[in-house]
Amino acid sequence: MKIGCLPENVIAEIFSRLPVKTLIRLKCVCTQWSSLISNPFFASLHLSRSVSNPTRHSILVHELRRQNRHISLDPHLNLGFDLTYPFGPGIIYVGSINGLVVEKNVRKSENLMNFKKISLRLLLIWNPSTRLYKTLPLGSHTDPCGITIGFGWEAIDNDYKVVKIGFYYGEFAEWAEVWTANLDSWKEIKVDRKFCLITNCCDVIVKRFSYFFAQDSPGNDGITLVASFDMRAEVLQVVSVPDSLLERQYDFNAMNWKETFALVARVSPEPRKIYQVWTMENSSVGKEHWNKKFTLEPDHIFYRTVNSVNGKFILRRHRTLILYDVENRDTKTVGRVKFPVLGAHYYVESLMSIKGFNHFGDDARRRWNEQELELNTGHVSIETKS
Amino acid sequence: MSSPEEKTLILKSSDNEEFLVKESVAVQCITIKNLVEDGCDLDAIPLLNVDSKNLAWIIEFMEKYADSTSTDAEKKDFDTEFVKKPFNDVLGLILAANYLNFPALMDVMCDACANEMKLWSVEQVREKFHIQNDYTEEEEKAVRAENFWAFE
Repeated sequence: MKIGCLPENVIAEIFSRLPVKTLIRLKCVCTQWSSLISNPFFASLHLSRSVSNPTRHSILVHELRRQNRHISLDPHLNLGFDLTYPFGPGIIYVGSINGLVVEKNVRKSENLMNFKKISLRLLLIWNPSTRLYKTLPLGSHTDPCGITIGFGWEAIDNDYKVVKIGFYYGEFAEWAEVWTANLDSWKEIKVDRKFCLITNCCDVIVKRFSYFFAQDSPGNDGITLVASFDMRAEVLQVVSVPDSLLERQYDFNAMNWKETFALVARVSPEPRKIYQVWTMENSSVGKEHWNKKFTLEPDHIFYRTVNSVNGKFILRRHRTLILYDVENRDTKTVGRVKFPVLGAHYYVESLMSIKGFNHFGDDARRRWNEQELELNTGHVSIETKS
Repeated sequence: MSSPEEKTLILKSSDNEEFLVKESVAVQCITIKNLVEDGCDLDAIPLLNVDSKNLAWIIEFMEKYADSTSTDAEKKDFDTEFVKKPFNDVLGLILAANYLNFPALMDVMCDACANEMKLWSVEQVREKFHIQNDYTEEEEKAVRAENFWAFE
């Protein structure tokens, strides 16, 4: 099929090298170009180029502003997203894959045992590159309890899934349910493993797995486990950390290292900081095994860990954000922020969308324009240095 | 007797001009490589969709890329100069590279085309690609309004 004077595969080849913002503009050229740009196969082609092109990677910085507003800033694009409008303050980032980001909003209350009970108030999937979003139904478990949320992608059906795991009073996981984008509905998942989750959001997303740190028993003496949810088989699995790390309570972080789950454990007591990096192969249920990759002693403190497609951590040193490559120890300054940083999250530019995606309303757009104004008038300083 | 690496092919453009190219260089075009491997025994390989202007350029590119003595930096400099052509010629080379299935040339030319496109307005894009706008006025307004942020 020819478009203008070029066949469609050639146009797609050229388009796959363009940033999302340009492509959105090019939708106006003619209806055929708009169809191509909206085509899910093209979105996959474009994503595959984005993944290997660092200029199409961005970082969402969650800042805590006055009035408890959480702003996501994209230093790369010099852009602010205030999801307070229309979603309310206190939005919390869950995870990102293929350029889609999941965020949540919760209502917390204390109970007598001083353990927070959480009610999920909002679950949202959005694409910061295309500025489209969808709010999810909340699921059938609505009693306040501890909730951990994970996100992932199932490649075969091109389906995005959000998993919710519930537990009471810091105890073992009780129930789980999973939402799939293709059906836009929740489904109950069997929990037949004993583990206690210690985070409220997934730690790492690698392809079809969402990983969470957990323990084998409540309290402070449990053995650290890595729980994972397989988006394809829709099962929860649990594996303990490598044997050599079982004896003591190490400081564990997680990252996506070359599309496998990697555990970064600080194995030295203060003040030295020696880390071991282990990867876990998780290709099929019950066949996980750990490989020790290397040991490192960086001179940066691991303050926040981030999902990353290429083995880097985002660190914060005072108000500067740094990208730290775990393998070759390169550091690169990404930007500077003026407000306290709640989190910094790596995502890839993409055209990915799910059924039911909407444009943000006028209210949000107005606020975002204000953020951009702030950025331009110097109230926030975000610069990208190489 | 020449060894296989030194075998020369005759490539014939659509306007009947013949070009001599070493086989080892020409097989960077997968279309030609397949023809050779399938045992094509024609005197000259006819390239019906490539005219002599484009074929000359393509051979220039192929020879640079097949040259093992040229460094990556040199190739990059070559590319920078090579793509400095009128836009219609850029599109012509992309079509030829697509027809010949020449990945390296496709890469360089598509990158060049994309880099130019980033800077153009919607109207300029239509003009350069010779595209007829098939939106109604209201439709186009709606698409622009929905994606207003992309135009800033």
